[in-house]
Amino acid sequence: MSRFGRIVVGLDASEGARRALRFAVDLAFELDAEIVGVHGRGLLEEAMAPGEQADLVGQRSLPPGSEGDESFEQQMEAWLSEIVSEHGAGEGAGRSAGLPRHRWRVVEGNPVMALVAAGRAEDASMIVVGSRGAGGFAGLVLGSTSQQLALHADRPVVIVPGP
Amino acid sequence: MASMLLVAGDPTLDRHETPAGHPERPSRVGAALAGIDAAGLKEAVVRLEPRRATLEELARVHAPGYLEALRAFCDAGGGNLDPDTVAGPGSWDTAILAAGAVLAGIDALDAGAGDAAFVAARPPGHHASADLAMGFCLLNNVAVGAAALAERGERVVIVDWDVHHGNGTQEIFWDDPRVLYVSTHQSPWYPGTGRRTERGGKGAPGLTINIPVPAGATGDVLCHAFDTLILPAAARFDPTWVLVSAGFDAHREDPLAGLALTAGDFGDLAARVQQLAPRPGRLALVLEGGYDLGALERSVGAALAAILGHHYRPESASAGGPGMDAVEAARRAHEEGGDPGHGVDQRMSR
Ligand SMILES: [Zn+2]
Repeated sequence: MSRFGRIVVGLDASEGARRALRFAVDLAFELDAEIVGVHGRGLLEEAMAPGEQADLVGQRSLPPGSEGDESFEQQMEAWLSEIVSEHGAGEGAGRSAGLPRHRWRVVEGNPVMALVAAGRAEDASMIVVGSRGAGGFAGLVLGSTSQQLALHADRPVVIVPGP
Repeated sequence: MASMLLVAGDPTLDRHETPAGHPERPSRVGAALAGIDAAGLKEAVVRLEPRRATLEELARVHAPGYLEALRAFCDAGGGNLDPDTVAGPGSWDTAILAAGAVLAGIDALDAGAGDAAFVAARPPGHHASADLAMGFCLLNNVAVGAAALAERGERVVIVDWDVHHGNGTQEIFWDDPRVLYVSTHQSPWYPGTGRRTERGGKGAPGLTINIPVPAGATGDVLCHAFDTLILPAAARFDPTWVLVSAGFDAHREDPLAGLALTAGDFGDLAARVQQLAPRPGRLALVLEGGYDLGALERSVGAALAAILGHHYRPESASAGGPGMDAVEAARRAHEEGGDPGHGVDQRMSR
């Protein structure tokens, strides 16, 4: 294993998360690192039916499930395959093997808290998240997972911007 | 026996709006207050004047930069703080009124105005840490109250019987020998913290007590936790004040969790926290969760009636659910101790 070991990626069903995963895939190939995809499962998501809570606070989350949940894993496996095939295979040492090494984890709690904890538990070399377009200065500090994570994490955070 | 109940919190000043369909909604406070009337306690109630917590009072537990950013976020129109938590233009004022209501209750008790206080305000607080809003919570109301007392030299027990673990409160007092934090909560469940091995930091070993219980646990399980672990541990701590993070979402009808308590069980728990208080006038219950309005009304009524020595039991106690072994395991974890600081990888502050 390379000195970059593991890369934790923050995942939900958003485009921003997909961009973060794409960036992490590139990194994982280049650095010979393992991807650990982490989803922080919130209070509403835990208690309510799929989709029921999505409209409440305007943030899309994944179907509920526990560690090893199939719907989460299936969706992320599908994204990973799409991303790798979009990028083409064969370039770089890691790519001949197909998909990068990876695991998926669902962690209860606020996304920031879940990613900070997972970063520590996995001793990750970095945490990769997508940015969400929260407007205004205050929004930058409080309203986005990526900015909160940058304030709270005890290891490097990579924020992947929108197109 | 207590006879005067101080009630803090004013729903007419509540301007913390959440989207339609969100379970943490303004009508919760009305339902909680209706429980007081339903229990026939109207005569015993003294309503307290609303007041706002000052920045200085909030800064005992929250980072000044967080307070500034939260106020600016609300003033700018607000938005989502995480997938569960929203704030709007009126949320800052409502939040400082909720924290202020705890302080108003404590000060009125301190002045000898009553025997117990009930803080009926929102948003709830026990998930909010020093610098992170989450789980519907913006400011940690009960922590603001406990910190005010601790600063006056008091020894405070916080009993958190909300169905969710109060990660924010635990974190705030993790290393603080002036405060004993005890939580019963469903596990595994949001927010994922509150394992029985989380026992407090080096400065306060054993002063965090977590009693996670499985889905389906009934009132007898929590009463067993009080009788065998919480009451003896609190007696050893010898508190001068008792604050309760009184969530009522462990009720069997609550939509956000899976415990199986009834209103009668909350009466039994309330009678036990009253035993913890060193004397009348040293017990305050602070509303946290509780999302089924009918269950909330009945449970608040039963809890406060038990404290005032009135008979009001709209539902009988529940028994027979799983979790006795979990309580035993928590008791052993507390008594055997272990490395302070073990199992705290979800703490946010460093
Ligand atoms: Zn709760």
